[in-house]
Order: sequence, then structure tokens, then C-alpha cells
Amino acid sequence: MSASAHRPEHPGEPADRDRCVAAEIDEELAFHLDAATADGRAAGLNEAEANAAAARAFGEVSRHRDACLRVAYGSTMMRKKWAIGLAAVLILASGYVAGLATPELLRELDGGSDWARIGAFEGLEWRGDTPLVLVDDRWWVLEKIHGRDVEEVLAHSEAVYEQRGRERFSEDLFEVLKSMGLPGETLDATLRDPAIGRVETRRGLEMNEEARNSAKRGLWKLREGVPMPPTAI
Amino acid sequence: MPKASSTSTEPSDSPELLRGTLDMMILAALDDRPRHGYGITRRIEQRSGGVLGVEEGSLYPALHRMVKRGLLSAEWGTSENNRRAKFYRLTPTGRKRLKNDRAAWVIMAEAIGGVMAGDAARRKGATA
Repeated sequence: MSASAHRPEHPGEPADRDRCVAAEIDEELAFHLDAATADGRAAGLNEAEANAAAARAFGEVSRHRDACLRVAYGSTMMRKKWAIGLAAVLILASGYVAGLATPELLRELDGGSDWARIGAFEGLEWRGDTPLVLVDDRWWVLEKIHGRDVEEVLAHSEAVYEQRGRERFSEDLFEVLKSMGLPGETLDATLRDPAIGRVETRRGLEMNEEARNSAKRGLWKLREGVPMPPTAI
Repeated sequence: MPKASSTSTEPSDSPELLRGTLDMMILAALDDRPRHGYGITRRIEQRSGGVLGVEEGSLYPALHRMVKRGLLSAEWGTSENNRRAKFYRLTPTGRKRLKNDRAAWVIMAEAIGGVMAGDAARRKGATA
């Protein structure tokens, strides 16, 4: 049995992104099965025996593939049906709440909370469309993340999360960066001192829950020695 | 190498225990260097002397979930056989989790060991 024989057919996956995610999962699972088959051959099994042993050890490919897809989309199919059903009820129930049934709401209902809730900055305040961030007890203008202009990251967040784009940028930067295909575990940030204009790049800023909570709940205000952010930049 | 027979740990036996244990073993398998999924299964098998094993396919949803939770990062690279493969590595968050899990595991193992040893074994240990 060749690796391609392990790959299940899923003709109902419509969008390019879906196809891309599914293709990567298929490639990853096929690699595993091929490697296991090769090890079986190296251990003296013939081709059919090696294929059978690899397949037996792996388990049902389509089940594991579907589980990976559910992780990728943050929900089980049942939850997706619930979300769609609930949105439909909202729309039908009231013209007022129909306005709430946006794609953003669907995403929220659809398991958005699976993403890591971590952040890199202990404080984040907005001055117009410019984010000020607290790093090492000093306020900086955040200019770039991973070399991308902040405007680009924010525009992406607003395109994906619509009216909650800025809030998502502030509170769920990990998810925003991941959805752009950028690293989210640590951050390379280009920062400008708003007082003297000096620019610094901080590499490998750790993202963690403490920083996110501090920024989200304004906990930095309770710490001694931390200045208030400048009112104008 | 593929296991010749199925393991005694079936996913349906205790899914919560399995999930927590599997995540912990994945973190430990990546402690020294990045590995692809197949490498992780081999590492777990090797480190456990072949005793511990899970259905290999169940590793992948766990890996993808751990990436999403920020415990691991994933990157496509080239395998030892010159094939494209997805490699996983610990993130700082994952490394911190591994450290905590290891500490908790030692406490848990000692506690369960104490219960399982029974009075006779403990008396024997006390008189030895």
C-alpha cells in the first residue's frame, strides 16, 4: 500500500484555505505512514506486511485527519452546527439581534477560545490608531511586529474580526499573528521612544498569560514606579 | 518501527487521563530538540522501553491542539530521509509547562506509589 493509498478523499472541502489546511494535514500523516512503512521494511517485513503494520499502528486515518481539521477550525462539527443554528435563531427571532449575527459572532461561537490567551506587552493603550505598549516599565510606540508595520497587522485584524479588530489586536495578538502565518510564541517588536524618537528592536519578547492579563485588566496601574502613558505622541 | 500488536492503552478507556498524559509525553519528547510527529512517537516508545504507546494517529490532533495553545511551534523542514516534514519544537510556554508537569508528576507518582505499596510493603520498608 503506497502512502497515497492512506490519503482519504474529501471532495466536499470548498475553500482554498480549507484545501491548504487539509493538504498539509494529509502530507503530514502520509509522511508518518511512509516513515513507519520504511522502518518496517528495514526490520525485514515485506512491502505488504510493512504497510499493514504501519496502518495498524496508526489507526483510522480519516478519523485522525478529521480530528486535526476540527482543531484547525476550533470546533467540532456539532459545535459548528450549534453556532449556525443559534445565529439563525437570533436572526429569525428579532430584527434587532440580527445585526449581532456577524461572522465575528459565528467565530466566537465556533470555538475561538481554543487559541492561547497570551500577550507580550504588560500594558497597551491607543492614541488614535497608534498603539503604545509597556515594555520594561517604559511606554513605547509600537511600530513593527516581526518586521511588519503595525498598520498592516491591525488592518489584517480588522479585516478578519471586523469591528472587534482593534480589541483582538490588544487582547488576542497571538491569534491575530497566527492567522497571518507569523510566529506568536515570541515577538520581535520595533519600538520608538515617544519622547526622543529613538528606535529599538526587541527580539524574542516572550508572550505569556501574565502580560496579557496585565494589559487587559490594566494591572500595570497597580505597580509602583510604572509611569502613565503619554497623552500625546 | 510499527508495533506488532496494539497497546493496552486504548483511547476510550480514560480519555481525560490519556489527553493529559499524552500532552506531557509529547512535551518531554521534544525537550532536547525539535522532532516530526513520527520522531515523537519513536522517542516515546524508546524512552518507555516500548511499554507506553498510543495509537500513533492520535498524536496529530494533540500536536495541532498544542500548537494552537502556544505550547509548541511547528515548521516545515527536511527530514533525515530528505523529505518535507513538519517539525515541532517547545515554545517558552511549553517548556514552562513541561517543568511544572514534571514536578507535579513526581508528586503524583510518589503518592500513588505510596497507596499501591500497601501496609505490608511499608512495614517491610520501615524495618529494613
